[in-house]
Amino acid sequence: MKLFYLRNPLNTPHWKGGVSKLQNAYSRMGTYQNAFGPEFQESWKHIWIGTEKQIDYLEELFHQHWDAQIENIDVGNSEWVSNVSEEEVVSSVEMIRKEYFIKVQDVPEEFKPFTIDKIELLKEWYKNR
Amino acid sequence: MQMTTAARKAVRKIMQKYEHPFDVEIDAIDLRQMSKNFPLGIIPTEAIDEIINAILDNAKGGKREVEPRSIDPEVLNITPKFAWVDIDQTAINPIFQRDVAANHVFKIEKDFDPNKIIVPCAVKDMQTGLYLLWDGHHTSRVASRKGWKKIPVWYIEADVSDKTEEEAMAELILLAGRAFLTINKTNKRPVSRLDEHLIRLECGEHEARLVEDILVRYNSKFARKDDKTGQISHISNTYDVFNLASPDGTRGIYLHRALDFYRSTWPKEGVNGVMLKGLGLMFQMIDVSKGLHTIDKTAFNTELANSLHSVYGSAKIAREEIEEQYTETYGDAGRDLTPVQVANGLMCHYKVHNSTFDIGNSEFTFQVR
Repeated sequence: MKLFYLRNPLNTPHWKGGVSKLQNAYSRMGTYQNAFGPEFQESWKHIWIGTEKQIDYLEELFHQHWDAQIENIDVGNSEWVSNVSEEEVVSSVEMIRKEYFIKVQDVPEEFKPFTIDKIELLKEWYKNR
Repeated sequence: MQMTTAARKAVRKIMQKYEHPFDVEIDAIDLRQMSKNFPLGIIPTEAIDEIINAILDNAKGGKREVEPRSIDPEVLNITPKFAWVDIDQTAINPIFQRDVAANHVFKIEKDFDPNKIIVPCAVKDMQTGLYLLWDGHHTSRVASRKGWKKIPVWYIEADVSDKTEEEAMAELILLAGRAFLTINKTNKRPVSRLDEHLIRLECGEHEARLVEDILVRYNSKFARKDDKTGQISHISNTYDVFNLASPDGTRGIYLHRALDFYRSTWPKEGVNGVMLKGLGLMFQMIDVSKGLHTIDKTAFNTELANSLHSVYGSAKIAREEIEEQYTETYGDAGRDLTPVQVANGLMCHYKVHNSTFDIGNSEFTFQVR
């Protein structure tokens, strides 16, 4: 299982869309956390879950969709969609899901924003759904 | 050789001044799309130089040593049998020069020797007086990068003695197009299948026009990549589907049916060539097995589309998973081509999820979702 996530850690209108295998979510979140230190908790505002193929295709289409909004293509910046509202970026994911028949699942609201302490709960939820 | 981040940034900056976007990659700048930014669709060579220089000047080892148009090659005392032409009097008609590759310029630039330059060939455009290069374009770009403001050109003019200027020019363009294919199919940078199709189309070849008409009808087009809505990059597979004959010997029918199904089932996706051919083969197998008019095609398409949506979702995932399911069953012993795997997988899938129509037997079976 894999996750597609949207994050904007500084609450600016800049969003990073990315993917992580559920089993690797600890290390992915840990990497982000490492850049901020203890006074900030890394979180992913929105997540969707699905098979690796479906999530990877969603990510590919997401980046294609927002290509023009990626303003800085330097290392570390090239996946950030700039100057987009939360509503716009989330609805773009929903639009892609619908128009391209991407079979990913919503997760319950209680998992959002998604933080490191919810990884095991999400695994449990996914197993029992 | 890859395009550096600095090169991409430089290219992005240049692209801002163009109204009509076009693809710029290290191995192909899409001149056909680029030409839409210029009057009459003729691209000034300095516009191409600008992009190539943005790519190569920012590449490792690609920096130019001389200013553009700073050297008059006539003073190098090469005695041409033909015209030396001001480099800005040369131009591109994308009918027979579809793209230009910065990495190929880079390759031949390393061996540049003014004593053995291959002379570009051109037709002289009677309307503009420009020399339209149909061969040696990359060479002329190297000459430009070496600072030459003139280049030697073999060129031909239209004979208007017994025809109109328009007829004579059309004849020259056809000649140039065919000459370009002859030369470039056998040496130098290979002509892509896309360019070959477009050249044949614009030179008026019958089969290319038939294929193109079908593509247009289903709002599709050939392109270098299939990552945008309706774009098809697998030209060979598309021609293969066009050439599939129905039981009564008609060609073209399965390209119609496969594209119709594809575009109505996955209207936003690019058109993958393997899936397209798989669909064409499946429709043909059903007709061969059950006869031409035994199945309600609209109802069948709806049923199949619904189950494919429900199980796989997109065309991309459907194709990938059917191929994987084939490999799981047959492993290394499987020798069927991927479109054949997909065609038979689609038939197996239909039988698992639907039962309205008897579609006959697939050539082989395997477990599919």
